[in-house]
Amino acid sequence: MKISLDVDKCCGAGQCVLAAPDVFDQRDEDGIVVLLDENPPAEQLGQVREAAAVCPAAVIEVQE
Amino acid sequence: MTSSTLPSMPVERTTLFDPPQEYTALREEHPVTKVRFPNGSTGWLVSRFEEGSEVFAHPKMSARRPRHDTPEGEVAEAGNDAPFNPTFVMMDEPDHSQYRRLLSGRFTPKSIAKNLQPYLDRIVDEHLDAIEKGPKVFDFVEALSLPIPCLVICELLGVPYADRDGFHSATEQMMDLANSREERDKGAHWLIDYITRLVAEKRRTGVQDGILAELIATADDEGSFLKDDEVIGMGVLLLFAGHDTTASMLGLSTLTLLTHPEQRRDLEEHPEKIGPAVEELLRYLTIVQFGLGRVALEDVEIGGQQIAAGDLVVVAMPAANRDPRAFDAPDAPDFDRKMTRHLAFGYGVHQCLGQNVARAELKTVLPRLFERFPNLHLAVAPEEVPMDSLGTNYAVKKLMLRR
Ligand code: HEM
Repeated sequence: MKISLDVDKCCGAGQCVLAAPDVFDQRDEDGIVVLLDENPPAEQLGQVREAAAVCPAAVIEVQE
Repeated sequence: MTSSTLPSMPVERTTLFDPPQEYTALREEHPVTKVRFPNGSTGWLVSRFEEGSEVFAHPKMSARRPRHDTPEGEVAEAGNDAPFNPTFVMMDEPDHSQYRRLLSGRFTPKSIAKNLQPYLDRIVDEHLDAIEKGPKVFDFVEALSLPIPCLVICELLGVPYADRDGFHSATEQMMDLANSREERDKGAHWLIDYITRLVAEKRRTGVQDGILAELIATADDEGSFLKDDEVIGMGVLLLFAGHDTTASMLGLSTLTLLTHPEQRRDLEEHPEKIGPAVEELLRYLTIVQFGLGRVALEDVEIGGQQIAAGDLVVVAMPAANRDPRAFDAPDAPDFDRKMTRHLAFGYGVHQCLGQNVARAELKTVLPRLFERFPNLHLAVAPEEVPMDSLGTNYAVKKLMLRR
């Protein structure tokens, strides 16, 4: 699985962190998304897909 | 079609928790359709989930919109009627992000857990203690659902403890629908004046406590990026966006649990379901009852309809969140529902900044309330609970409970 982020679009809603806390974090100063793991293990795929679907600004792209 | 022959946006409810019945047919037959709004202006009404999401996410749909939900005749232009600078709510990219990012660090789940949750735990327990010491029958709105969101905003903004009672009285005066329009405006103006004085005070003393102080500091670091009226505007925005909404959700969620014994038992027996339960209550209740508007910046197509540049488009989130294409058996609250997202906080880059604060408040108050008072029930029949069905947010005006 490969994850790419369009960080400029991020509005810091924090939805990805709630959906996949092992893969996404937010910067302390402005809440912008931080990728903790660029190639997370396959068992995280469900959560990562959910994070991509729930992101209000369509920042997250997942390639399997 | 002239505006007088257009159908009106549905506004009248026939049941306690469901959006107006007309939406069921509208969503099937005319999911994107021209209507006349409550204030007499006209535009498009979107009642399905995917099409609604598309409107919010569309880069050519501007957040700088006129109001549509004020009473007939009041067709104010965006911003002109606001007695404060509404800052980024009415802005589009790239300006919107520049402002929103000054605040978003304070609204992450991590920051809330660390900076707000301990205070929230304390005030919720204190207010439950006060209820326990008071009369058997009490008004939940006065005892919990108004003061908790108000104190939370005070904590976020950095309102000194000594001022919090006065701040709360003014918010009550502003929000109490039993008051006249003038009384309510007086409350609002007191609050705007108070925040104005507070910003001046914080600039003078240079204290570092809360969002207002942080915003002032940003303004200083980066030259004149934020003017004082923008700092004040953001403070007022947080109060107006975060108080009434959360108060409404607390009251209606409690009423929902008290009238749905099966869901109440589910939550009492499975406290671990509180997260999904809160999401489901947000979806089921969708309190922003007249939806949210956007203005098309160029011609766009939504759900097969040609929308012209300049048209107002309103997403009826209460209807979209009951769309059977997106949710199975949408009209029943179900805490086991598998749901990725809903539209109660909007969608797109303007999606509610305070959503994780609202979640924290709901997740703290609801379980503790039912744990503390296991026999809690309504002191009046459900149909006698006075509802606010005219305000921006659907709400209980008063909720008399017996503990
Ligand atoms: C259950 C409670 C709440 C509900 C249902 C709610 C709902 C919403 C909705 C639907 C929007 C989108 C507006 C739009 O797209 O035009 C919004 C935006 C916003 N909300 Fe909330 N809200 C709640 C609680 C809060 C709280 C507690 C705060 C702050 C402490 C807050 C602050 C804001 C702000 C600042 C915005 C503007 C965001 C932007 O334009 O980028 N809200 N809210």
